[in-house]
Amino acid sequence: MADTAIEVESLEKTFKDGWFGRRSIRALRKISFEVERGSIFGLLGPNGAGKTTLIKILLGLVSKSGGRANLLGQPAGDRRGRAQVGYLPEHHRIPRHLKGNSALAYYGGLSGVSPGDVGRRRDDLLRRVGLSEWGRVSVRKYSKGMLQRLGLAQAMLHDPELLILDEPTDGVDPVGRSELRTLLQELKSEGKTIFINSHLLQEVELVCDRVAILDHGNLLRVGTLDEITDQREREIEFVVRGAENVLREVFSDVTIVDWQRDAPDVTQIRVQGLDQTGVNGRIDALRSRQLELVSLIPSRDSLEEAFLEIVGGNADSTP
Amino acid sequence: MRPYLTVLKDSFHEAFASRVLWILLAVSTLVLLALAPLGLQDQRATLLRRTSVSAWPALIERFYEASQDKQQGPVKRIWDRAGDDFQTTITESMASTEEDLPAITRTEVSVLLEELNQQLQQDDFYDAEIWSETVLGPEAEELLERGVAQLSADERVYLNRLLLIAAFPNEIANAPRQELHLSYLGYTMDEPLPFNRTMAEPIINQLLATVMGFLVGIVAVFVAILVTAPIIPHTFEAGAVDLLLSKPVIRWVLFLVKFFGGCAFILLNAGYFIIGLWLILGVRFGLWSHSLLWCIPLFLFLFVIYYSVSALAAVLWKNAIVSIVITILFWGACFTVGTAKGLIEQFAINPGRIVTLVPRPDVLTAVNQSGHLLEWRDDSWETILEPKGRDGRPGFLPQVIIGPVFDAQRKQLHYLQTLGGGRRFRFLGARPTLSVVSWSGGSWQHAPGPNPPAGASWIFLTPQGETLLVAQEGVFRFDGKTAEARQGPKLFGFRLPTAQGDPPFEPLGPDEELQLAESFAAAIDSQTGNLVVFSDGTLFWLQRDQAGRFAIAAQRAFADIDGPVTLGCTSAQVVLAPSDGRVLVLDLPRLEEQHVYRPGGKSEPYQVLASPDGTAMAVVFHNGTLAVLGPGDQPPRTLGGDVSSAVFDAQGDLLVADRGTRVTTYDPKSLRPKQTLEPEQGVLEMVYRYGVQPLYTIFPKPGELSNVVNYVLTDSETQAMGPPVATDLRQARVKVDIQGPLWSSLAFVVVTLSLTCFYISRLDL
Repeated sequence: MADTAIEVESLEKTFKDGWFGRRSIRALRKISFEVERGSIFGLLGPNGAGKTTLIKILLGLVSKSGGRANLLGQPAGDRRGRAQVGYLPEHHRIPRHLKGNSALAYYGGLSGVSPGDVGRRRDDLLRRVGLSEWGRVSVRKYSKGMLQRLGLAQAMLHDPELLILDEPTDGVDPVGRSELRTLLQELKSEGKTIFINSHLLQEVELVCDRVAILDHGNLLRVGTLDEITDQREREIEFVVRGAENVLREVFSDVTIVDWQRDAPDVTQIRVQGLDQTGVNGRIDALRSRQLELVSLIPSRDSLEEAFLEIVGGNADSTP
Repeated sequence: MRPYLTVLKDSFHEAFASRVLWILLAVSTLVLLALAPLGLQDQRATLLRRTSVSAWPALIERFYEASQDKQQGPVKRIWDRAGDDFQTTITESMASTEEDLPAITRTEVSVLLEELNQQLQQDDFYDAEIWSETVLGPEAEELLERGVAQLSADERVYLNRLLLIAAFPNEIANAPRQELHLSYLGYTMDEPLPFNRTMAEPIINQLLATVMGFLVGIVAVFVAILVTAPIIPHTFEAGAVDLLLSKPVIRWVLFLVKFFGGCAFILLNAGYFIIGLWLILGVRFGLWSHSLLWCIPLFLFLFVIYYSVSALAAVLWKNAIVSIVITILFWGACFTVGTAKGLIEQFAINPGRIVTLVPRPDVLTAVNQSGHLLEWRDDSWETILEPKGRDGRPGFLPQVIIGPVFDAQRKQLHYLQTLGGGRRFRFLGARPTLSVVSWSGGSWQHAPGPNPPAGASWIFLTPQGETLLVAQEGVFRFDGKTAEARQGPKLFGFRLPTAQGDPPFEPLGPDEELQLAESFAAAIDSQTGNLVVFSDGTLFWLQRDQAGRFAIAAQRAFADIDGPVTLGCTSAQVVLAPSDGRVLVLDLPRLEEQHVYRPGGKSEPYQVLASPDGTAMAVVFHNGTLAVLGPGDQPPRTLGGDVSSAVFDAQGDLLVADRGTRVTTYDPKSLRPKQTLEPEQGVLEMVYRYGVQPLYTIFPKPGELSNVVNYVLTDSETQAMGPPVATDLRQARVKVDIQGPLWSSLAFVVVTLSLTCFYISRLDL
């Protein structure tokens, strides 16, 4: 079994529009990445970045214009690959004549699950997504969040190896989001691969092992959260008790971002460009001058900051 | 397979979840409940009906004669007891005559009926002495034996009716002993149905075909189109389709399953209604018409045609409203093409179709469907005589011209004519007219012939050149004189009295008791002049003796033939073609079956022809097939698909009229064409042949599926033009294309669905 659940290499998609397809829109521009089995992968990008197109190519809903895409070792769109995928589309529509249980029977049947197996798994699934009491209720009466939970249940029904979730927390309340995070971690621990497409960067930050940032069809970054956020220069905050003039001597050769005096003898200094050796040197210098180091906080960027900076930089360079 | 079965199952689930389905099922239930109490009830006939009298003019004549008679008899007794209105009506009718027959209106008939029915209610209607000379049936005898006083009031009226019928054995020939009444919730309608129990099944089936064609074929199908139109657009909506197609399914198969699943709605509706009707017919009417159940798949197919268009539009535009509009436009296009074809055929093509060919030594004569007599001159058909109704005006219904036969000696064409419009009220059973068309002064002149014998229905030319008429009472020879010639010359506007000469029709036997049915068939052997006649299930061979008279030489009853037949004969064989499409070849004189063929499918035969030397025979069917039999034991060979008439000429060549006005001469042995006479086509005909007809051929024909429904229910490939109860196979029939609409519609559905599948499989969702 290959270690990668999804392999994308130089994938391209150009949509033709207008009379005789004279207008073309490049939705994906030679993107390449891999998703390891058993990991949670987040795909980020602003609206129109090509995220949904990428998912649809992987599922065979949209044809690719070039490149290569494999899903669980099968060419993208192949039915054998799709049989092992649970998909929760964004704004999905479950037929309104169904109830919770019959919807699971319907989608289970479509995935090739026998009615008996659906019956056996149904209760547990509804419990896991928090819909234990709603199986016999028509989906007309479901709230948006409940429909989302039911969508997730149908995606998990046939015990797929890979879950592709497009905006899974859309319409779900904070408690539900927390439950979903727990569920995703459980699934990961069961060895499932999860591919999440989401706007909610905090959610992604909390659950994803690796992240890709897509914008205007270009893949801007792929990596772990640390790799994404560490791309920028780190800042370190020193809080020191002691004379200010002595402090200035210690930090004389360092780029100072901020210098604040919090108390009569306490100073907060934010510096940039120090590696670990430099940090150790400053600590030693402070101790040798009898200055008390109150705290040392290495500051890290949030994913949102990294995302905004990366996408912002791309916006400047993309025509 | 499981994913597709799941989708199919869900379609039924969806249909059952639809409120419209339950509303329609409720409406169907109401209709079925309203129909359920209907029933048919046989009742002893106690009244005289308008249709009981087969010949009102003859009945009036009998009463008038009785009024002049001094001798007592049943008719005289009824006359004497009748009121003034009755007597005045009879006298006035005798005063105003039409074609030598008493004229009578519908109102006058009502007066006579009222009086007769009043007398039937009287207890002293019967007088043993007066009825002593009248031949009574066993039923009347039995009632009389019991004694009139012992009979119940109902029985007494029934007896009186039997006595009245016995007094008018020829005039009141259609009075059934039993009448069929419609009953509803235990209440029986007063007026009987105009048909008996035997005829009930085909008539009810015909009625059903019409009602279901409208209720299920139009109303239910269009409701289903409206209800199912959103199914495909909803399936292809974002959020729904990607969820479906992310599953391990093949797109186009999923579409097809979804498409056929959408048919669940109409299947449930049509199935419920038709099965309900079938049960009502079976339980209440005793008509277990299993063919009715075939209407379920038929209507489903009709829906599939429209739904395929709806689905294609839905996939292209993903909008239910657009798909409904497109479907309605499609229906309109089909309707327009079908109607244009039907109208052009009805008013321009069919009236000109040649229905009879009469080869004469010098020129070919023909009769077309509208009753024009034509001659082939200068590469076109020239009308030599316009059709005339009884009152000289063209009739609305197609003219049935029997004949003509060409009397070479007198240069006359003789023909009988039935139907046609008339100013005065006419009844079924009224005599046909005989026309004599003579060559005079360089043109053909029409003159009415004398009134033919009662029930004259066939006209033949013997090898000796005589014109024979076969009527209900036997065979007659016509002397060829017109009615006017018989009345003598006029001088200064006044007709000179002439001595009554020989009667115009000389009876030629047979002397044996032979009362032919109202609808019988006859044919002549052109070599010997012998005749074959088929009446009421019995075939008679009438041999002609040296004196020219006919006698029954052989006869045979056919228990399995109860409808009309067409006959043909040579000196060695008789061809009997019943209306079920069989062709029986019988030998002479034993009348035993030598072969049974079915070369025209289930189509009714139109004519049977025999070559002058008797070596070949042919049958023309109403569906346009010509089957040439023989020589010998060879199986029939068929020709063409649009043959409207055929004849063997004096040389034995086969002349075949097809495509309306074209006549081709074939060698009867090889069936190779020798010569073709085809007039130049008119603009309308060209538009029809090269525009409307090709368009019609490639278009689906959902509207024509009603013909298939009709065929399934009535088992008839053709439909009579004119009265629906016509029993004369010579009457023009519309060929109903059964397979054409099915195949062209099927092809259309396959192409439309294939296009949709192709589009879907390449679609980026």
